[in-house]
This record gives sequence, structure tokens and C-alpha cells, in this order.
Amino acid sequence: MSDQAIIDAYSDRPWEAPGRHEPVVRLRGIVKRFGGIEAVSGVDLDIYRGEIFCLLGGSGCGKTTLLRMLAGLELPDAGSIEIDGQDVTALPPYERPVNMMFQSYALFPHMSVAANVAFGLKRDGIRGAELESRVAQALAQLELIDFANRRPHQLSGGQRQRVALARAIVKRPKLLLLDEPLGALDKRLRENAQYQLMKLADDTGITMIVVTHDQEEAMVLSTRSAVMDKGQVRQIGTPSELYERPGSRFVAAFLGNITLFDGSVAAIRDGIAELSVDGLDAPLFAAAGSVLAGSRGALAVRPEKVRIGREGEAPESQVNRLGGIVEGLAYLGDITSYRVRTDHGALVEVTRANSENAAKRDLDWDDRVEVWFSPENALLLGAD
Amino acid sequence: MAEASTSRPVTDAAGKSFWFSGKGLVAGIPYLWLFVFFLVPFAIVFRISLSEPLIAQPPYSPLFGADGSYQGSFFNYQLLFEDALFRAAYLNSLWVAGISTLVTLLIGYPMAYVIARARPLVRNLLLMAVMLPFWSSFLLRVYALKTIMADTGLVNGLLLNFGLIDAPIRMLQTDFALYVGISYTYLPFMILPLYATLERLDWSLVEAAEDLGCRSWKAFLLVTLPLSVPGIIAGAMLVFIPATGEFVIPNMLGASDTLMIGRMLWDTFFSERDWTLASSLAVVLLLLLVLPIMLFQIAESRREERV
Repeated sequence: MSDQAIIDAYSDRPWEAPGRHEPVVRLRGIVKRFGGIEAVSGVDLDIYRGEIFCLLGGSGCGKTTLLRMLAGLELPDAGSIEIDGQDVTALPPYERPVNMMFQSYALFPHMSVAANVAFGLKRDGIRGAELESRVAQALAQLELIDFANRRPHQLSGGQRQRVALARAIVKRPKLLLLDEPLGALDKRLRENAQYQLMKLADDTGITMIVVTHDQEEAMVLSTRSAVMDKGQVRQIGTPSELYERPGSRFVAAFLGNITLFDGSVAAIRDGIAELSVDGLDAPLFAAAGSVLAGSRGALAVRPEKVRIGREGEAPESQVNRLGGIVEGLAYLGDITSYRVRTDHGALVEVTRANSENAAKRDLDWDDRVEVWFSPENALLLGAD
Repeated sequence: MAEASTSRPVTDAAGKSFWFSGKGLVAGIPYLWLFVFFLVPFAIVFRISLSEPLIAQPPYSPLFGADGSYQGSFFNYQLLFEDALFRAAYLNSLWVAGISTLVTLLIGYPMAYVIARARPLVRNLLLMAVMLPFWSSFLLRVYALKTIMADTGLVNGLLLNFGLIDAPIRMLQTDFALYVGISYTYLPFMILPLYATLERLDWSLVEAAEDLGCRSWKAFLLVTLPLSVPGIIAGAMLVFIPATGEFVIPNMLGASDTLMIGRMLWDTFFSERDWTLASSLAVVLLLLLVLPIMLFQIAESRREERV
């Protein structure tokens, strides 16, 4: 394979070959304090062209502050921000090749939809036919042509969200920042808007950074996400990496549901760790990850990877098996979710696709059951 | 009132009439207030303005003769419009009020802006400072201004002491003192509605403007200023309207020949004891102020309906 072919092969996952690709956004050692409290403490990030990169975390984790520093609305106390090779750390917002979509949308209430969209272009001295055609193009892209002359307060929430998006992309920024872009939409609208956003990223090629607290949104939208906590990035990865291979208890618990068994690592053989779980006689086994023998750790297993059945239904060869009682049961349409209280007092979450058990509701509240999972489907996390 | 009777049934489920239900009582209080303290006095003033002056008790002619014939006339209004002095007084009042409104706006806007953007603790302190003058008597404050601006007052004393001037600058009994007095007195009425508007302004709009390429001053001109127009209008009305009829400040600080309608009114009423002409002066002043405001509000509500 030629060098070019290798680059091409990696081009939709540029972060896997960082030497070959220049990141569009490069953050180094970003620190921001508010009144002595560090809102962002030492963040390094490389974000590549065409990515939809999510900053994911709970409220107060520093994700919005980080976004505002990228926009130039806050200045970092330390560190540097590079956008497309240019150091913009100290540039004011109006000199950055960046546009932002605000959580409140921040549409100008005294201007029509078209004037809102034209606002940024006019500031660049664009007038006349070019102004009109670019505004029309942005409005068309977001299906807003019919609303061009309306005022923001005459629009529905979904329409306002699209106006905010049109206004933010019309200047063709090198980087589009979105602060909870779908947070104010109801569930049905949100799903459409997610796909619209992805299509927009694809059509325009604009690199996007999305702040969200909603892990599902990050999973749907992002090429990669950074999970943030207390001003720091805990893990960066693609949605499946973060979900399947969380590096810490925090990330594991933040994305989706997970059951954790604390214990100490007794031995590691062939990449499989033997964990003596606190309060449990028989050990459990899991993929070792980076945990060392003798250390404390936690076994983590996702609900959909745990099987459930009546006592004795588990295959004889299965090493990870626990007896218990069904303590809770929720029918969710596509799946059924069980909460099983094991004999040693732990709570295990299990989900089962309803393609299997739609007709026969074979398990019920207070039934005695057995849950099991294979070691490859469980992960051992360090005790942090 | 008309709306209440057309848009909803006059009686509610319990069969009580709207005006005797709890809601009606609450809604009725402001109407009652306006009726007793505005409409009735105005009717009395208007009625007096239609009479002729008499040296009697009361000092004006009855509206109906002994035979029941109507004897009122618009004689006083005719007099007002034909007299150049009254015309000049009206115009000068509007002019003085206009300039004062502009001055309070130019001083009050930045103050309101700073207060609205300050931290909550600082904001409350500053608001308190704005309202503090209300805790002392208005007359006392105007007297204080008088001592500050007098030939032997604080300002001249300081300037003389530092050798910046050789002779005191005459400030009292000039238009300067008049504008200082009115602007100082009415400044809080400009600041408070402006503050209320600016405080509610979504700061992210300004950030959005900067994000889209505006320098700070341009973001102010294109976003903050247009969105604070309601506050500017409210403040301007609160200053302009009372300033037009102002009597005490021109009397105490202004030049003796300052023509203002408030002073004319006082003189006509108390010196000349012509209640009828004074009443017509007051009615014309009221119309002069109320008509433009009503037209403005009608236009405004039409615009809002369109939008």
C-alpha cells in the first residue's frame, strides 16, 4: 500500500494516525478559574477536520466554559488554543473563524429570520446579490424559506433552533460550536434534529464541537466524545469505545447503565482476571484491561450482556453466575429490563430483547432466577 | 371594561356579576382611583376653564344662568392661542423638558447599564444610591443645589481657592442651573425603567452579535440599544411629562425671565387670581402631553398586533 492509500484509509478516523493529520483545533493545558475555583483544569484536545466532537458531562463539569473559551467569550488563565494552525488564544470573538450556536439560541428578537441570518455576513461587508444568495442558501438548507420574514417569537421551538443553526453556519466558519443544540427540543423533534445536524456536517464539511449533558445525544451525533468531570477530560473516544471500553468507573457509569462488582484482583491468566468480589464466595472473571493482580478493582458489565433465566438454565460451562430474586421488572416495548437482587445483596441490571420473550412472560416479580455473563463481556476497571 | 363585558359572560358560574366578584373588585380599584383622583378633578378644572373670572367666591362665573341657559365659552382658550407670551411659554417648556430629557438619558443610560451589568451585591448598592435622594425632601435637595451653585457656593469656592478662576462664575438664575436642577431631580426616573429593561436583556444576544463579527460598540448599537428602546421611551416619558409642567425648579434655580408654563400657571392662579385662565392653561398643557402619548400608544399596540 502506498503512503497516500494509508492516509486515505485513515481519513475518516484521523485521530488514529495523529502524525499524518493536522488537527483543526488544538487545545493545550487550558485552565480557567472563576473566583479561585478551577472550572477547567488542564485540558488537552486535538479535534480533526469534519469531526462532530461532543463535550459530554454533567452540569458544572466545565464543558460550557471550554466551549466559551473556544468562541472567545472567555479567556483562559493558562494554555493555548489553536484553530487551523492559528493561535487564537487571545483573539476576541469577532476575529475568530468560529461561530457559536447558543443554548438559548440568542436570536435577535427585533429582527426577522432573514435579518438574523444575514447579520454575520453584513459584518463582513457582504452586500447585495451575494448576501441575498448566501442567506437564501442557508435558509433553504434548514427548510426555513417560508419563515424568512417572520420574527423569532412567531416561530416554534424547532424552527427557532434551525434559525440559530442557519445563522451560525452561514459564515462558513472553520469551527462551529454548539451549546446544548437540541436541549430545548422535545424527544420527537430532537431525533429529527440530530439527523439534520449530522447531514449538515456532512454537506458543509464544517467541524463541530457540541456541548451536551445527554449521553444518548453524544452517542448518536459524535465521531468522538470527550467525557468531562470536574474540569478535566476523563476519556476521549468514539461512542462504541466509550461504551464498550470505559477507562474508569466514572465513564462507565456516565454512559448508559452498568452493574459494578467491587473486589480485589486475585490472579490474571491469559488476559482474564479473577476477582474476589466483596461478600461473594465464588470469584467472578472478566477481561483484565490494565488492572494489575493484587490491586482493588471493579467488574463492570452492561445490562444487555447479562443473561437471565430460571435456576439451572445457565450453561454448565459459564463461570460467572449468580442466583437471585427478581426485584423489579419494566416492560419497555423493545426490551424488558430486570433488576435482580443477588443472594449476596448486590443489584444486577439485566435487559432482554423482547423478540425472545414477547409472548411468554416467563419471569415475574419475586421469581427465583439465575443471571450469568461470559468473562469477555465484562470489563475490569481500576478502583478510582 | 368594554372588553370584559364582550369577551366573557357578564356573570360567572355562581351567578355573581363580574364587577362584584373578587376579580372585579381587584380590577376595579385602579379604575376607581383614576376616576376619583384624575377624572373628577380634571372635570372640575375643565368646567372652570369654560367660565369667566369674577371677583366673588368662588372667583368664576356659573356655567348656567339663573334662567338655566348655558353660559360657558371657550373664551379663555381663544385668549391663550392669541397671546404670543403663552405660546412662547408652552414652546419653551417643551424645549426645556426636551433638553432635560436628553441630558438625563445621556447620563442615565450608562449608569443604568453599569448597574444592570454589576454583580448582584454591587447592583443593589448602586440601585440604593440611585433611590437614596428620594429619602430627603425634594425642596431640600433643590436648596442644596442652590448653595452648591451660588456665587459664594461650593463650586465657585473650590475654583477660586485653586486659582482656576478670578471671579465667581454666575450659575444660579441661568438656564444652566435650570437644566442641572431638572436633570438631577428627574435622573432616577430615567435610570429605573432603563435599568429594568437592561437587566432583563439577554446578555447572550450581545455575545451572539460579537460572535458574528461585531466589535463591542457595534454590538451595542445593533443589539443592546434597539432592545432598550422600550426603557428609553418609558424613562423619557417619566422625565419629559413632569419636567414640562415643572414650577419649583425654574422658580428657584432658573432666571427670573424664564418662560415656563408652570410659572405662568402659578402667577395666573395666585397673583392674578384668574382661576379660569389658569384652568385653561392646565387643560391645554394636559392635552399637549396626553395626545402625543395616546397616539404613540395606539400606534404601538397596532404594531404589536401586526407582529
